[in-house]
Amino acid sequence: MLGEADFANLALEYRRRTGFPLAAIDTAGKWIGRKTRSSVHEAAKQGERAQALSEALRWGEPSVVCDIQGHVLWAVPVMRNQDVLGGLLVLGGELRRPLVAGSLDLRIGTACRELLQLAIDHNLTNATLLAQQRALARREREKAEALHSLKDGLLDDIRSIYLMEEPALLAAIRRGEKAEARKVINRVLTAIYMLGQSRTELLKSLSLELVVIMARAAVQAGGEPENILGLNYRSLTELAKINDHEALAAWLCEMLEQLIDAIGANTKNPNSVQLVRALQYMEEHFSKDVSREEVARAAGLSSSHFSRLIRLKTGWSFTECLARVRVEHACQSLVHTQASLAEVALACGFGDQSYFSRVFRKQMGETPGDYRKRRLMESVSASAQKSQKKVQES
Amino acid sequence: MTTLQELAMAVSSGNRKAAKALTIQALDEGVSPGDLVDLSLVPAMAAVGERFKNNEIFVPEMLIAARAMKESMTVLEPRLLAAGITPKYTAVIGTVEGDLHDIGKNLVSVMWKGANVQVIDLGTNVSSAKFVEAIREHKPQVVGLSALLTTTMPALGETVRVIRASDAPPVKIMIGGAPINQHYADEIGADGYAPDAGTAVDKILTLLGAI
Ligand code: B12
Repeated sequence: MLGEADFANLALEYRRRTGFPLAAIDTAGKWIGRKTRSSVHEAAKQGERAQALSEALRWGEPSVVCDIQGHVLWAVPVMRNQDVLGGLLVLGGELRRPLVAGSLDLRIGTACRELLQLAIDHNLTNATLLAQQRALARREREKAEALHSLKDGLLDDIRSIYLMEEPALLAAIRRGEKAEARKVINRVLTAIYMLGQSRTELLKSLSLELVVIMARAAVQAGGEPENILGLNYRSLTELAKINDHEALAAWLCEMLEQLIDAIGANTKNPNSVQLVRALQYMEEHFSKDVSREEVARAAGLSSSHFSRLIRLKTGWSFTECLARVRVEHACQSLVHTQASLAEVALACGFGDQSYFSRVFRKQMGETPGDYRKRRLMESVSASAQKSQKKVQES
Repeated sequence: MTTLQELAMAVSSGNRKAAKALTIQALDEGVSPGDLVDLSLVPAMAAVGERFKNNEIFVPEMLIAARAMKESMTVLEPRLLAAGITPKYTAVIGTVEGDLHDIGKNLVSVMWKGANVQVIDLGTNVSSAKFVEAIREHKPQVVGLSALLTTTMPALGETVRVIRASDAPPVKIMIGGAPINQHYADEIGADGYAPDAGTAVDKILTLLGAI
């Protein structure tokens, strides 16, 4: 599938990107293009290489394996359609404790991802199949984690399972993050099935409860109430007919999809609720140090999504937006109170006065002091006019 | 920090040398091997699992922690073994095919040895055929199967079936692993299940008593 020169280029590219040498193996773990003497030792090594290859195929990505001598290796399958022709293998050297925690994970993790990317870029592997395997592995992992918490007795009954998962589910629905919501639903389902076993009626009533909670969250997130309520009624009649687990699972997932779509369907003003909530939060907390993450969380958005949204809707970045809120309040204080500039700066979350002046000036075109004077003059002359008018009228 | 806490830290951060030294120190301070396992090693690996679950660490550093744990167990094992008594019973133990996790299985193995059972450890990724072969060869009273992945639970069920259907001498089968529970053990027809190494000792003694 790959000529010698092509492989040399590939190895060069990988070395340049990650610093690790690349080699080729067949499906049995034998080196391709490398001479080896056969020995018991070599046979064992070959088995380990084949294992790295089969692990990668199994999990849909290079998976780090450790050999008997404490050396690590990882691989990516070389495939044509469904057939595995061999693999690209990396010997990562001896496993050593990193000086900085996390640095080893970072180095090897990056090298694994690069290997997968390289194989995909050069069309050497079945990217679709690997992606499917990764999705499967992810699902299994979620299942495993649900099983673990059940065993730990963290969750003693079905109700407590979803009481525990509920916040995560609602947050995901509010953010319109289908994948995340699906993940939580999956976890809840695994746990529920483990405990519910043959109690379909119980499962049904719990599922219904779950859907009602989800619908409420969807309305809060700005979905059209009519749509969502109609959906609820339909779902009720459907649910009555269900009498096995599989159908129930399918029904729940279907409900979830529809609910999330219903939120998205409110295109007149998508995400307006979240944005209002974000602004409200800024209004309430502008005097303190507020971070973007904090505001995003309060609005039920991921911080990157929030950044995009705020820019889209207001034309400002988060920092600019917060500065506007602060300057607005500063204006109020300057006009309506006797507070000193330093006090106003502090009360509006500006840290120090010179920073306050700079931001204020940029936005208002004059310094806070000038602004106060001007507004004072204006109000003096306005009230002067008013009283003059009154005099004239009388 | 107590020595046990320090040991847990050393294991979960993968500090092999410290793990060994602290194990020796804790034993010298009079900590019982059982407490050392329950109060330090198992919680340390649980912390590693928690960090992996939260995507704070990944496989390479998990491997490092696993290695530190094993280092501690090499010190621990000889202290656990009952001296001078010839074991009356034999057990075969292994992790099922497709599964490379062996820390839990090793702990069970050590605790069984401590309870005066001779243990033949087949390692990880053990096919059902290899289990049958080992049962023929060693004629154990009990065989222990470990599985840590939801995806290898079927292999566990399969191994039970193959052992039962084989012409190897009859044997009691015990199973365990993080995703396993009593319900699953009943479902696949295993004779015993234990959630941890301590219970695994009680359980094997009950099963042996029943022979
Ligand atoms: C350490 C670890 C590893 C190490 C293992 C090192 C080693 N030499 O064992 C390494 C890095 C190799 C590893 C690899 C992988 N792992 Co891993 N690993 C873990 C981790 C963090 C801890 C396991 C452990 O040692 N626990 C400590 C011991 C003491 O507990 P225990 O094993 O449960 O054993 C106790 C009981 O269960 C019982 N017991 C166990 N066996 C037996 C047997 C009998 C007979 C009896 C009676 C009792 C019994 O007694 C034991 C002692 O108390 C778990 C997380 C977890 N919560 O379990 C993930 C975990 C099991 N791994 C996971 C994954 C995904 C993987 C990989 C796929 C990662 C990857 N992408 O490469 C690979 C798979 C490799 C393979 N083919 O097997 C997932 C499993 C998901 C699933 N589908 O089930 C978990 C749950 C992590 C997670 N939250 O995602 N892993």
